[in-house]
Amino acid sequence: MENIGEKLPKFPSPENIEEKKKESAEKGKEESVENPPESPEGVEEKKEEGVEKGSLYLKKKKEGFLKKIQHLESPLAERIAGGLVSLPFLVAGMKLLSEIQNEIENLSTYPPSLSFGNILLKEGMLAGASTGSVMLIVFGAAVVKLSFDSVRAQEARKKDDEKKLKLEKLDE
Amino acid sequence: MANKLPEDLDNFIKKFQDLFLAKGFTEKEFKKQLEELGVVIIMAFLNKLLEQKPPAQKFASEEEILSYLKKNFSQEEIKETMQSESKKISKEYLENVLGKI
Repeated sequence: MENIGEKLPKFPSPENIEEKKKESAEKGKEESVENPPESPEGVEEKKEEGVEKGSLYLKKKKEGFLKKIQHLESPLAERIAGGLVSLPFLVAGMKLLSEIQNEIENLSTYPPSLSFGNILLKEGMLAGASTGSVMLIVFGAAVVKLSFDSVRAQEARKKDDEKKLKLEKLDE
Repeated sequence: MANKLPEDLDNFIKKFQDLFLAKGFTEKEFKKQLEELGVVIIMAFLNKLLEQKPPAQKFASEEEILSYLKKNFSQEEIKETMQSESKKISKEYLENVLGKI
Protein backbone atom coordinates (compact mmCIF):
# COMPACT_ATOMS: atom_id res chain seq x y z
CA MET A 1 0.00 0.00 0.00
CA GLU A 2 1.21 3.48 -0.85
CA ASN A 3 2.59 5.18 2.22
CA ILE A 4 1.82 8.81 1.61
CA GLY A 5 2.12 9.50 5.32
CA GLU A 6 5.82 10.08 4.91
CA LYS A 7 5.11 12.81 2.36
CA LEU A 8 2.47 14.60 4.44
CA PRO A 9 3.54 17.63 6.46
CA LYS A 10 4.73 16.77 9.94
CA PHE A 11 2.84 18.61 12.64
CA PRO A 12 4.80 20.27 15.45
CA SER A 13 3.64 19.83 19.04
CA PRO A 14 1.95 22.85 20.73
CA GLU A 15 5.18 23.50 22.70
CA ASN A 16 7.22 23.56 19.50
CA ILE A 17 4.76 25.94 17.87
CA GLU A 18 5.16 28.40 20.77
CA GLU A 19 8.97 28.11 20.60
CA LYS A 20 8.94 28.60 16.83
CA LYS A 21 6.67 31.63 17.17
CA LYS A 22 9.11 33.22 19.68
CA GLU A 23 12.09 32.34 17.47
CA SER A 24 10.50 33.76 14.36
CA ALA A 25 9.41 36.92 16.19
CA GLU A 26 12.99 37.51 17.32
CA LYS A 27 14.37 36.52 13.92
CA GLY A 28 11.88 38.88 12.29
CA LYS A 29 13.19 41.79 14.33
CA GLU A 30 16.78 41.04 13.26
CA GLU A 31 15.93 40.43 9.64
CA SER A 32 13.72 43.46 9.24
CA VAL A 33 16.81 45.68 9.18
CA GLU A 34 18.88 43.58 6.79
CA ASN A 35 16.12 42.07 4.66
CA PRO A 36 12.99 44.03 3.94
CA PRO A 37 9.75 42.05 4.37
CA GLU A 38 8.21 40.27 1.37
CA SER A 39 6.79 42.73 -1.14
CA PRO A 40 2.98 43.03 -1.44
CA GLU A 41 3.28 41.49 -4.92
CA GLY A 42 5.05 38.47 -3.46
CA VAL A 43 2.34 38.00 -0.85
CA GLU A 44 -0.34 38.31 -3.53
CA GLU A 45 1.40 35.69 -5.69
CA LYS A 46 1.54 33.26 -2.78
CA LYS A 47 -2.10 33.95 -1.97
CA GLU A 48 -3.09 33.36 -5.58
CA GLU A 49 -1.34 30.00 -5.51
CA GLY A 50 -3.11 28.73 -2.44
CA VAL A 51 -6.46 30.49 -2.10
CA GLU A 52 -7.26 30.77 -5.81
CA LYS A 53 -6.18 27.22 -6.61
CA GLY A 54 -8.24 25.87 -3.73
CA SER A 55 -11.26 27.94 -4.69
CA LEU A 56 -11.01 26.95 -8.35
CA TYR A 57 -10.69 23.26 -7.48
CA LEU A 58 -13.80 23.38 -5.27
CA LYS A 59 -15.81 25.28 -7.90
CA LYS A 60 -14.87 22.80 -10.66
CA LYS A 61 -15.76 19.84 -8.46
CA LYS A 62 -19.14 21.34 -7.53
CA GLU A 63 -19.90 22.06 -11.19
CA GLY A 64 -18.87 18.52 -12.18
CA PHE A 65 -20.95 16.80 -9.51
CA LEU A 66 -23.97 18.95 -10.20
CA LYS A 67 -23.83 18.03 -13.89
CA LYS A 68 -23.77 14.36 -12.93
CA ILE A 69 -26.70 14.44 -10.53
CA GLN A 70 -28.93 17.17 -11.90
CA HIS A 71 -30.84 14.74 -14.13
CA LEU A 72 -31.89 12.95 -10.91
CA GLU A 73 -33.33 15.94 -9.10
CA SER A 74 -36.79 17.38 -9.37
CA PRO A 75 -37.06 20.58 -11.44
CA LEU A 76 -38.06 22.40 -8.27
CA ALA A 77 -34.99 21.33 -6.31
CA GLU A 78 -33.46 24.17 -4.34
CA ARG A 79 -29.86 25.08 -5.10
CA ILE A 80 -27.30 26.81 -2.91
CA ALA A 81 -23.69 28.04 -3.29
CA GLY A 82 -24.38 30.02 -6.41
CA GLY A 83 -26.59 27.27 -7.85
CA LEU A 84 -23.79 24.68 -7.76
CA VAL A 85 -25.04 22.55 -4.88
CA SER A 86 -28.35 20.68 -4.79
CA LEU A 87 -29.73 21.27 -1.30
CA PRO A 88 -31.95 18.13 -1.17
CA PHE A 89 -28.99 15.90 -2.11
CA LEU A 90 -26.70 17.63 0.39
CA VAL A 91 -29.20 17.36 3.25
CA ALA A 92 -30.00 13.72 2.39
CA GLY A 93 -26.27 12.92 2.40
CA MET A 94 -25.78 14.63 5.74
CA LYS A 95 -28.74 12.82 7.28
CA LEU A 96 -27.48 9.48 5.98
CA LEU A 97 -24.04 10.04 7.48
CA SER A 98 -25.52 11.31 10.75
CA GLU A 99 -27.68 8.19 11.08
CA ILE A 100 -24.69 5.95 10.51
CA GLN A 101 -22.73 7.92 13.07
CA ASN A 102 -25.49 7.42 15.65
CA GLU A 103 -25.73 3.71 14.97
CA ILE A 104 -22.00 3.21 15.21
CA GLU A 105 -21.85 5.20 18.42
CA ASN A 106 -24.38 2.82 19.93
CA LEU A 107 -22.04 -0.11 19.51
CA SER A 108 -20.28 -0.99 22.72
CA THR A 109 -16.87 -1.09 21.04
CA TYR A 110 -16.99 2.66 20.46
CA PRO A 111 -17.14 5.07 23.39
CA PRO A 112 -20.13 7.40 22.85
CA SER A 113 -17.90 10.46 23.02
CA LEU A 114 -16.09 9.49 19.81
CA SER A 115 -16.84 11.93 17.06
CA PHE A 116 -17.64 11.11 13.46
CA GLY A 117 -14.04 11.68 12.39
CA ASN A 118 -12.68 9.49 15.14
CA ILE A 119 -15.00 6.69 14.08
CA LEU A 120 -13.80 6.88 10.51
CA LEU A 121 -10.24 7.02 11.75
CA LYS A 122 -10.74 3.93 13.84
CA GLU A 123 -12.37 2.17 10.90
CA GLY A 124 -9.40 3.15 8.76
CA MET A 125 -6.95 1.88 11.33
CA LEU A 126 -8.82 -1.40 11.65
CA ALA A 127 -8.73 -1.76 7.87
CA GLY A 128 -4.96 -1.43 8.04
CA ALA A 129 -4.70 1.93 6.30
CA SER A 130 -1.30 3.65 6.25
CA THR A 131 -0.64 6.69 8.46
CA GLY A 132 -1.03 9.07 5.52
CA SER A 133 -4.30 7.51 4.42
CA VAL A 134 -5.62 7.68 7.96
CA MET A 135 -4.67 11.36 8.19
CA LEU A 136 -6.48 12.10 4.96
CA ILE A 137 -9.55 10.24 6.17
CA VAL A 138 -9.58 12.21 9.42
CA PHE A 139 -8.99 15.47 7.57
CA GLY A 140 -11.93 14.67 5.27
CA ALA A 141 -14.12 13.73 8.20
CA ALA A 142 -13.15 16.89 10.06
CA VAL A 143 -14.12 19.13 7.15
CA VAL A 144 -17.38 17.23 6.68
CA LYS A 145 -18.11 17.80 10.37
CA LEU A 146 -17.33 21.50 9.86
CA SER A 147 -19.87 21.64 7.04
CA PHE A 148 -22.44 19.77 9.17
CA ASP A 149 -21.97 22.30 11.97
CA SER A 150 -22.24 25.22 9.55
CA VAL A 151 -25.42 23.94 7.85
CA ARG A 152 -26.96 23.09 11.26
CA ALA A 153 -26.16 26.59 12.55
CA GLN A 154 -27.79 28.09 9.43
CA GLU A 155 -30.88 25.91 9.97
CA ALA A 156 -31.07 26.95 13.64
CA ARG A 157 -30.80 30.64 12.69
CA LYS A 158 -33.53 30.19 10.07
CA LYS A 159 -35.83 28.55 12.65
CA ASP A 160 -35.14 31.34 15.14
CA ASP A 161 -35.98 33.97 12.54
CA GLU A 162 -39.22 32.16 11.66
CA LYS A 163 -40.13 31.95 15.36
CA LYS A 164 -39.46 35.66 15.85
CA LEU A 165 -41.54 36.51 12.81
CA LYS A 166 -44.47 34.44 14.14
CA LEU A 167 -44.26 36.10 17.56
CA GLU A 168 -44.16 39.54 15.96
CA LYS A 169 -47.28 38.72 13.93
CA LEU A 170 -49.05 37.48 17.09
CA ASP A 171 -48.14 40.69 18.91
CA GLU A 172 -49.65 42.73 16.13
CA MET B 1 0.69 0.74 14.02
CA ALA B 2 1.41 3.70 16.28
CA ASN B 3 -1.55 5.81 15.18
CA LYS B 4 -3.38 7.62 17.97
CA LEU B 5 -6.93 8.85 17.85
CA PRO B 6 -6.92 12.65 17.88
CA GLU B 7 -8.61 14.00 21.00
CA ASP B 8 -10.81 16.31 19.00
CA LEU B 9 -11.18 17.29 15.40
CA ASP B 10 -11.04 21.03 16.05
CA ASN B 11 -7.47 20.77 17.31
CA PHE B 12 -6.62 18.52 14.40
CA ILE B 13 -7.89 21.15 11.95
CA LYS B 14 -6.01 23.93 13.78
CA LYS B 15 -2.78 22.14 12.92
CA PHE B 16 -3.64 22.44 9.24
CA GLN B 17 -4.51 26.10 9.68
CA ASP B 18 -0.84 27.08 10.16
CA LEU B 19 0.05 25.44 6.84
CA PHE B 20 -2.74 27.29 5.06
CA LEU B 21 -1.91 30.66 6.63
CA ALA B 22 1.64 30.24 5.35
CA LYS B 23 0.13 29.95 1.86
CA GLY B 24 -1.55 33.35 2.20
CA PHE B 25 -4.96 32.25 3.51
CA THR B 26 -6.73 34.34 6.12
CA GLU B 27 -8.45 32.40 8.92
CA LYS B 28 -11.82 33.30 7.37
CA GLU B 29 -10.78 32.02 3.92
CA PHE B 30 -9.41 28.84 5.47
CA LYS B 31 -12.66 28.11 7.31
CA LYS B 32 -14.81 29.00 4.30
CA GLN B 33 -12.90 26.70 1.93
CA LEU B 34 -12.90 23.87 4.45
CA GLU B 35 -16.68 24.13 4.80
CA GLU B 36 -16.98 24.05 1.01
CA LEU B 37 -14.65 21.08 0.88
CA GLY B 38 -16.95 19.23 3.28
CA VAL B 39 -19.85 19.89 0.91
CA VAL B 40 -17.80 18.66 -2.07
CA ILE B 41 -16.93 15.47 -0.18
CA ILE B 42 -20.60 14.78 0.59
CA MET B 43 -21.49 15.38 -3.07
CA ALA B 44 -18.68 13.11 -4.27
CA PHE B 45 -19.85 10.42 -1.85
CA LEU B 46 -23.47 10.65 -3.06
CA ASN B 47 -22.40 10.72 -6.68
CA LYS B 48 -20.32 7.56 -6.23
CA LEU B 49 -23.21 5.70 -4.59
CA LEU B 50 -25.69 6.77 -7.28
CA GLU B 51 -23.26 5.77 -10.04
CA GLN B 52 -23.08 2.28 -8.57
CA LYS B 53 -26.86 1.86 -8.43
CA PRO B 54 -28.55 4.50 -10.58
CA PRO B 55 -32.16 5.21 -9.65
CA ALA B 56 -34.86 4.68 -12.26
CA GLN B 57 -36.61 7.99 -11.68
CA LYS B 58 -36.11 11.55 -10.48
CA PHE B 59 -36.21 12.35 -6.77
CA ALA B 60 -38.87 14.80 -5.64
CA SER B 61 -37.51 15.48 -2.16
CA GLU B 62 -34.62 14.87 0.24
CA GLU B 63 -36.76 12.22 2.01
CA GLU B 64 -37.00 10.25 -1.25
CA ILE B 65 -33.23 10.46 -1.77
CA LEU B 66 -32.56 9.33 1.80
CA SER B 67 -35.03 6.47 1.56
CA TYR B 68 -33.52 5.27 -1.75
CA LEU B 69 -30.00 5.30 -0.34
CA LYS B 70 -31.00 3.46 2.84
CA LYS B 71 -32.87 0.80 0.88
CA ASN B 72 -30.14 0.19 -1.68
CA PHE B 73 -26.88 0.40 0.28
CA SER B 74 -25.62 -1.40 3.34
CA GLN B 75 -23.91 0.49 6.16
CA GLU B 76 -20.67 -1.15 5.12
CA GLU B 77 -21.00 0.12 1.53
CA ILE B 78 -21.84 3.61 2.79
CA LYS B 79 -18.87 3.70 5.16
CA GLU B 80 -16.44 2.37 2.57
CA THR B 81 -17.62 4.81 -0.09
CA MET B 82 -17.45 7.73 2.33
CA GLN B 83 -13.94 6.76 3.36
CA SER B 84 -12.57 6.35 -0.15
CA GLU B 85 -14.19 9.49 -1.58
CA SER B 86 -13.24 11.58 1.45
CA LYS B 87 -9.62 10.45 1.14
CA LYS B 88 -9.49 11.05 -2.62
CA ILE B 89 -11.03 14.54 -2.55
CA SER B 90 -9.02 15.64 0.51
CA LYS B 91 -5.76 14.54 -1.14
CA GLU B 92 -6.58 16.32 -4.40
CA TYR B 93 -7.57 19.51 -2.57
CA LEU B 94 -4.52 19.53 -0.30
CA GLU B 95 -2.26 18.96 -3.30
CA ASN B 96 -3.87 21.89 -5.10
CA VAL B 97 -3.41 24.22 -2.15
CA LEU B 98 -0.23 23.02 -0.47
CA GLY B 99 1.54 21.38 -3.39
CA LYS B 100 2.44 17.74 -3.99
CA ILE B 101 2.09 15.63 -0.84
